Amino acid sequence: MSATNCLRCLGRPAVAGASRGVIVPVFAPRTAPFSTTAVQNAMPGKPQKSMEHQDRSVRVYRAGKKMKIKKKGNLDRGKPPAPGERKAFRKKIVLSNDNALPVPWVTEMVAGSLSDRKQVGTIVSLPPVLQDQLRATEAFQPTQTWGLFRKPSTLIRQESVDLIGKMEKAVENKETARIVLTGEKISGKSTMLLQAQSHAYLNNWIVIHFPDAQELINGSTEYAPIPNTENPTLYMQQNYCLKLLQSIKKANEKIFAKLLSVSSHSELPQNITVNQPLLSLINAAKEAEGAWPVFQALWSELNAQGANRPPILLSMDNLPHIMKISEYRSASFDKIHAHDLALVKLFTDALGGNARFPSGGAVIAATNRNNGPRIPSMELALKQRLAVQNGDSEGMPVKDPYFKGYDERVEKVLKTVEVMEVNRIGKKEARGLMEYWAASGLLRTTVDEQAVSEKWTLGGGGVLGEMERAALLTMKI
Amino acid sequence: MASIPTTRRGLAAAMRGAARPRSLEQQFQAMRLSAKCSRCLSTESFQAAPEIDSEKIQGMIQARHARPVPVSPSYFSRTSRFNDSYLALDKLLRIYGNLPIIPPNAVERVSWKTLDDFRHAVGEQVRATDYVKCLAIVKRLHQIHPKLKPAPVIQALNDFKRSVQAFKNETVKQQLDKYGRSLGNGRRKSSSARAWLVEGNGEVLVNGKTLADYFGRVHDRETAVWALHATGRMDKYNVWARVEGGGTTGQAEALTLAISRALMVHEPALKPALRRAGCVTRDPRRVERKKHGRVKARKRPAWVKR
Amino acid sequence: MPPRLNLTSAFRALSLRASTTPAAGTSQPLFLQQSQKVAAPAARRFYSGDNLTPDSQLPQSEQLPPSSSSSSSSSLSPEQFDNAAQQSVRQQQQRQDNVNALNRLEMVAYGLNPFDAKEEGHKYGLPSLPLPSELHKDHRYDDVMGQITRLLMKDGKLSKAQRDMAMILNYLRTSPPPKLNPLRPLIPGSPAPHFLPLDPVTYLRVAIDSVAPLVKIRGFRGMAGGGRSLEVPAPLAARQRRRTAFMWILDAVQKRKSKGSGRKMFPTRVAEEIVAVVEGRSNVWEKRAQVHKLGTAARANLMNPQIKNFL
Repeated sequence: MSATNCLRCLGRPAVAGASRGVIVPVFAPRTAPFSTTAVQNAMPGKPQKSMEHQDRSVRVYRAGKKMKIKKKGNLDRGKPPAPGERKAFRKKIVLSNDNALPVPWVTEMVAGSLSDRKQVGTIVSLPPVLQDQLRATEAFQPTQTWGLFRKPSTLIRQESVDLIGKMEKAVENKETARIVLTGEKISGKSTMLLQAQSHAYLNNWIVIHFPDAQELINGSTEYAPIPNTENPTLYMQQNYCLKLLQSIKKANEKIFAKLLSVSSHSELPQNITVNQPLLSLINAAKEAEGAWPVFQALWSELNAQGANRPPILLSMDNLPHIMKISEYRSASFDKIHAHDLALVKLFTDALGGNARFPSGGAVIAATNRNNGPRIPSMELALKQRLAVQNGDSEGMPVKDPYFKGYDERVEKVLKTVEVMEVNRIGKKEARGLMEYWAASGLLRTTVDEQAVSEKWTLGGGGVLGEMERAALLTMKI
Repeated sequence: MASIPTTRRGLAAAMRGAARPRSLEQQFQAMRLSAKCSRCLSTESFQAAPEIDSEKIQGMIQARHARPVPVSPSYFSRTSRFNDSYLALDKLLRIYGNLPIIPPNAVERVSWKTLDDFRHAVGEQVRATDYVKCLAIVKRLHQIHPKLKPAPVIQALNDFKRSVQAFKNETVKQQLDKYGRSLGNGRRKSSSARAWLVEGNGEVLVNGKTLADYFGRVHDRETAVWALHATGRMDKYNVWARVEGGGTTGQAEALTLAISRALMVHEPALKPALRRAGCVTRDPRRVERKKHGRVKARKRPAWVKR
Repeated sequence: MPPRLNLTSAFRALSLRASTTPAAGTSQPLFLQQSQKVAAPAARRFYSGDNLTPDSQLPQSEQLPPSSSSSSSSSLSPEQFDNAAQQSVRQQQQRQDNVNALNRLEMVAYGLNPFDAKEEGHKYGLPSLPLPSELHKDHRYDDVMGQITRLLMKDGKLSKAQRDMAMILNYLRTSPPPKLNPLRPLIPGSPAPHFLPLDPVTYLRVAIDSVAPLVKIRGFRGMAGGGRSLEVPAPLAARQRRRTAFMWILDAVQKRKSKGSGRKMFPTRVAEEIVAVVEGRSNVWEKRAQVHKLGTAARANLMNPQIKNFL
């Protein structure tokens, strides 16, 4: 046993003294031999400076301030918003800004506007009826800048004219155009979809639009297996179906009032007979319970061959979400593939070319880059399709032989689709756009070559959304 | 004659004769065996001794000890080599001091050896005050008009010049290459950027991506092409750039510098405008290092009771 | 020593004249006559401090005489070769080059840059200097915007603060024009309310400047007797005033009820408060009035002999 203050003990065995029979007085507590702090602290009779501790029995060394961390009190901001209110506020879509100046040269969109090649680079506004229809199908998104301008308006791009041209051509030939829109982040894919819908509404097509594919697969709506389906079992999403039916009805009310049914649907609670307006068929779905059969009936009516049906536009945004395993589980707790959901299957069948609309139409889907999953098979398939379209057989991308994540069902769907790239806009279109912004009073600079070129460069060489970000969502106004 | 403070005049006078350069033979003779065992230093002039006849000498040698005489009288001083060169310079000044000189602003700039350099070169502990005086003579001699400067002066001055002459460095003037591109590089924080600028229509590629792809923040995009924006050249040039290191802000500001330097190769007259736009100066700030006893660079550890 | 500037300005004028008049076979160009007259004493002055031999001068003065002599010989040439028009053109060209070269040499002698920016070194014209401050990389935003963005910043996230600021401005752009309260007048010189939404920066500026307090209350500890502090009003600079006002606004924002969720919520609340300030509904006005009242009441303390040394 060695004393801590004995310097000679440092290099010696601790019991050296004891072995020699020397009694080492232990007068200090033991600590590490190199530190004296604790020893000194423990030493009695340390002078007391504090006047408060006169009582010697209570020894307080290093009595000081305690570190107090002030907690910010929770501010009482009153009653929180009711459930769903926050989301409604977040998703609120404002389509006009009364402060913005009306732009004199902007005309209203008419049936032929979007197919007119001469109008490329001009801005057209959406007529009020069309706005309501597009609102019903949720074609507007809260992230877009509709709320900054006097009237919701859209730029006619080269791509939009091309897309509309394809739709029209398909209808002429009574075929179905199957198109997938790809392109960079915020390059205008959803807006292109909106333009396709606008054209369809203005030309009296029937539009069925899935505003966000994510809602179908992320487990947010109720689902149930469809009876009598085996291998694979299909699942219906009645709540979503009801919502979809209502939006279809709201958007296409006028047309459905005129269309008559061609067969009777005795399986529905309301007995729908032949030659009843399709509107009454849709109205049959009052609750989620019977929504799926109604939707099926409606789909068969619309596809009835030989009947006089208008062209149909079936469109979906955020396509990659339905190209993967969904969040739903089967009875044996296996994950359900998105294509086993009946609504998704309906769309993918149409996109894969299995559906045939009686008087033609189009199936258009838009991919998303910002919040979408990466689907290797889809990306590969789209690239391959693009290479085929460009006649570039040498540069055809091939599968990675060591990668296991490919999905055959996805490839099958996308095998024959047409891929359209939504590219960057040119400086001429950019100028038209910026002149519109300036005339609305939102861009407070003179629009000349210099300014156009600057925003064009800042927008990554004409990515439309990026240009908007650089010009409209900035501190420099 | 310039009024150069030479307090060592006396010493100089004393050693004048000794400082004269001598041939090897003379030096050898200076080390002759002193027959008379004379103790006096040879100060003024050395008479060349007659050729030694070894046979003759054989009988003459009576002294038991032979002693060589040092080459220079400075041999016995503390800093002999310095003294020698000092004396030499002083003599040169006396001889050539009335040659025409050129005004100080026209003199070729030379970086002279510092005191430490000189001490290292001669291997002696030269006193600073002495070296200052010596340098004054050197500078005075250097002021002699270059066309008239005699060779011994030039040679003597060479000993005082540093081996690397920073003033002779010339900035490499950047030029456009055969494709009309100019290269500029820039740094900021820990990022470094190289930008190639070519006349074009305003396309920018950073590490193979467009500006919007590479910089998510609009502020950074603006920063990167600020040189073009401020001078109104946004639609006149194309940029192809490589950036590495650091974060987005650093990379964007490194690009500012790189692009502005590349732009100055195309249009040197833009420099004043670019300086006023804040695109010329390299921002030297770096992350401050962490210190021991601190939590971060400056943050002190919180006081803990016990 | 004669002033240098006058000479240089004279040279510039002369060189211009020399370039415009094509020296049509007359004697010497005006520029050279003048330049020799003036340059000779100037050169002497340059070396006047040193009594040197003239041949030990800089190469610049060595080049001067041959060029002037060549130009004088060329002044004779048109008379000698009247018919050789082509040659005369070439010689004129040479003369012009000489004039330019000489001009530059003169400029060098006078410490000027011969390759002046006005002459060359650019391809698409030069921007007029001084550049406006918004073209400086570090001052690209309005000064108030810059200050306020940094006040808005939390945890050093400037990027987020800037995005919030942009959203605030967009909220102000889309909200209806404010209805002013006559009891809470805005800062004099502010634009009419219906102009504000389309100029959101001014909107924000007006809001902040209107509620900015003029004074703050400084407390001098223990000087009022009995351990109380002596309250003395002190004036604030413009930047300080804006800071105080915006911190008050941010305090009010903390108490505001949030309607939605997501990244737009905080900027929406700030923007709502700013609209409330302009419309006179905000509590910030009361804070301002309170500070001003206290300041007015405490101004007698300015005469307190104890604090005179501190002011």
